[in-house]
Amino acid sequence: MALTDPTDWPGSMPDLRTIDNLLRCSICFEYLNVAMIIPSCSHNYCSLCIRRYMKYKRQCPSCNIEVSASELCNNRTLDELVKTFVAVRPYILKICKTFDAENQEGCPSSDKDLKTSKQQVKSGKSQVFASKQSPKKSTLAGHFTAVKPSKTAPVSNSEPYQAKTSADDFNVLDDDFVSPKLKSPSRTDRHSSNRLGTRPADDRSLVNQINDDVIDITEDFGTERPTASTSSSPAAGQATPIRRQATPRSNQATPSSNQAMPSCSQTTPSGSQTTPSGSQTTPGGSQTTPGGSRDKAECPVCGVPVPTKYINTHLDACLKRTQQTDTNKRIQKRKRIPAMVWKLVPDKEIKKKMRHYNLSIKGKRHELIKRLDEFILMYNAQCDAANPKSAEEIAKEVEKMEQLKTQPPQLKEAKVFKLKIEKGQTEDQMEKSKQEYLSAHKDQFSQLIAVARARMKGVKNKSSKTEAAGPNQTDASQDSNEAETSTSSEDSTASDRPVGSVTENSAVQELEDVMVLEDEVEKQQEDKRIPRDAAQDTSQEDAESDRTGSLFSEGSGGEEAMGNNGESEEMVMDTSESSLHMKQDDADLMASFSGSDVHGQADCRILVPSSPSVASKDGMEDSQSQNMTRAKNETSSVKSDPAPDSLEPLCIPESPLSVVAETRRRKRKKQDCGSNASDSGSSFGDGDNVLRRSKRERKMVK
Amino acid sequence: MATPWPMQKRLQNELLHLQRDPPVGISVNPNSASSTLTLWSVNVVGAPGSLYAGEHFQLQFTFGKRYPFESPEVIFIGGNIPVHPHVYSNGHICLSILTEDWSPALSVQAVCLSIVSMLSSCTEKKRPPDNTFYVKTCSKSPKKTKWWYHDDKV
Repeated sequence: MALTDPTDWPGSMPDLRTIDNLLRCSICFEYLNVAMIIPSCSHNYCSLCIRRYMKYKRQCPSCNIEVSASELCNNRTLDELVKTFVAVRPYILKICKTFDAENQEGCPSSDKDLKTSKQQVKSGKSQVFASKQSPKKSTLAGHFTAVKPSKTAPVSNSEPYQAKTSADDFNVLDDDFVSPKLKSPSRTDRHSSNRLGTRPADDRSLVNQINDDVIDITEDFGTERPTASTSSSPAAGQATPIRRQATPRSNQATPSSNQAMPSCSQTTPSGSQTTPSGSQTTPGGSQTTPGGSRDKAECPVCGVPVPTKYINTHLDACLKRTQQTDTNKRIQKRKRIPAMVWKLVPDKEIKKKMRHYNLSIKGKRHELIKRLDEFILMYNAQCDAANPKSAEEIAKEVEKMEQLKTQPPQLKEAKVFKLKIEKGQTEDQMEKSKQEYLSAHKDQFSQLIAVARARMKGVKNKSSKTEAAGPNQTDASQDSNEAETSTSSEDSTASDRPVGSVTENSAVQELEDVMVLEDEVEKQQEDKRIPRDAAQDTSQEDAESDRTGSLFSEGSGGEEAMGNNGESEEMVMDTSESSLHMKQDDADLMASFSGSDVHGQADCRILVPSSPSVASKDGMEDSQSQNMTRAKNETSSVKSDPAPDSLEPLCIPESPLSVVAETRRRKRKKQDCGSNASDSGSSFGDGDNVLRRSKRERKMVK
Repeated sequence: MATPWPMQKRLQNELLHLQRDPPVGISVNPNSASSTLTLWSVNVVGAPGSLYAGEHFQLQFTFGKRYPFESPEVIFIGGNIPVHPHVYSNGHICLSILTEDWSPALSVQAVCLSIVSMLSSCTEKKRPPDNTFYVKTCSKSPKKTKWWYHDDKV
């Protein structure tokens, strides 16, 4: 469906905008779908919207009044109103736009007319409207016919009315405004049918009189009056003015009034859908009464003429029957599913419930609960609808929505070359996606391998002497040569290279913030005559603590934002943490490769993309930072390493760094956590180092 | 119903509304909300007659997945961050409707108007008293701050 908005209406018709707005739910900004009213403040919302909101706060979104979900009531009139309005909206819109374009002066009046037209439609009396509109509006009437042919068709052809004067038109409008107040469709009908049975003589005379009248409402009203059989009687009360207005018109156009009569008899059944039998017999009853009305009376419930003696027993039976159907209806109305405290419900019970509702029971417990919650929400919302969907339908919808939600938008996925592995995947699936990823980026990998081999040759020539020495030394040499793969080395502090390079990167990111911060601090502290350096130092320290804090919070924030599978904590690694791992495990990894030849290195590279580290939640950020780090390391390697790296391909699908990091991470998981303490200690030192370094850089930039 | 996120449709609606019929002094940056709809920048002009009359500010809205039910993250960005007792120098705004008093019946437009009105009712241009401390210690998102709304005069 196309997007609709209150601003679709021309600005010259603010009232229409208001109407449009009023028919919308203020939570979803759509037209009300199963409107629920809050009785205490009379605000309306979609059933689903307000129920969903009730999970957050138990109050009215518009006025903050306290509400509980059980207080919500249906507002079917509003539902009907919305339904009708949405149906006629395009036509009204079209007309409004043409009017607006044609003639700016004509707008206010047309606006008013259109509003009344909406009232007409609402009260199900569009035919009266259609028959009495000026030619200008007859187009609109035509549109109505298109929308609701059954209602308008019989009368829309009544041409004579279209030649009316504008004054007459006004009268009609007045009448129509009065009509909804006087008559609520179904109830009065039932009333009139009751009366018809008991007072046949009156009815007959009334019907004769009404024949002169145009408006069906007046007829209904007339039948309701017990003794006021004449229109001139003062007891006719409210009905009288209508008739007075109506009479001259009927004099003017007698033939048309006859034309309009059939519509009267047709409206009656349509007006009272709830009691079809009663209203349908209304005309019949009044016609048959002349025959044998003396010894037979019409049953007020079912409308069948019954001998007067048996009327009581018949009435009892009739009432019993209607009561039964009432209870049936009540049973038919679906019961809502009560809210549950899932924490107290065991897995088994939840699964049983879900099976009962045809929901799939795949996934972890919290996923199940989420799914079931969503289902219950939609189910309860559907309970409010006039024709609720079946539980199976809702279950299907819930699962479909869930699928859509877990699928990230297509656009995004196309841009990110990442190996995605979700936590819930099986081994086979993971293997498959790995293979796919490998084949997709084969070219780039082979390129990388070639580059690495070329470099390794140089390394071999250079470090042939050092290879004979202990593993630690080998580590260092390999590391410095292989700037691309290695993020950090054991002896980096000695060579003044950044250790926690990933952290460093984030530190660089934070640098700007720190600068802003420093400036502020400086401003304030200059006033206090505090030496500038000291101020900077303190701010640096503060910034550092702030930075570590924000790093962690960012990590968790990113996870939250991603939302889909926030539970995959294992995958989610704080950047600083991962750097730590790298450092710690670097030695192991490098040790394992210490005696390795070119092939060994190549293997290590190939391993890289297949590692699930890529799937980490903060992947985007991660890869970015890693890319940056790599760039940095490259520059540093240019300094330390005589063999230049300039041939490196620019578009690398996945930084191999992350792969190495992943293998390390995995290794680490298997290891005991005993070494944690020392790690963290050193990492703090590294952080300091990084900061100092970044500061220096900034100064250089300055 | 058909869209996976209820927020998307509503955001589209809001954007359309704001672009077609913007209130005085408020305009959405059309490029900002192009692809994902989750990050908008809105230009706001200080109301005439107030201390900020004619000043141009930029607000950044970030919408979460649960948007109409949870408040958007709103901060001032750009070079000109208003000097106001409830606006920190990093752009964070201390405004109750942005956190605990949020209601799904509010919209981007309503938030913008409240912020403009908050600026307008200011009598003295100054930063919040705890600005330095807060800016140093706060998280990046103002939604993570536990705000304490004590002053309803400004």
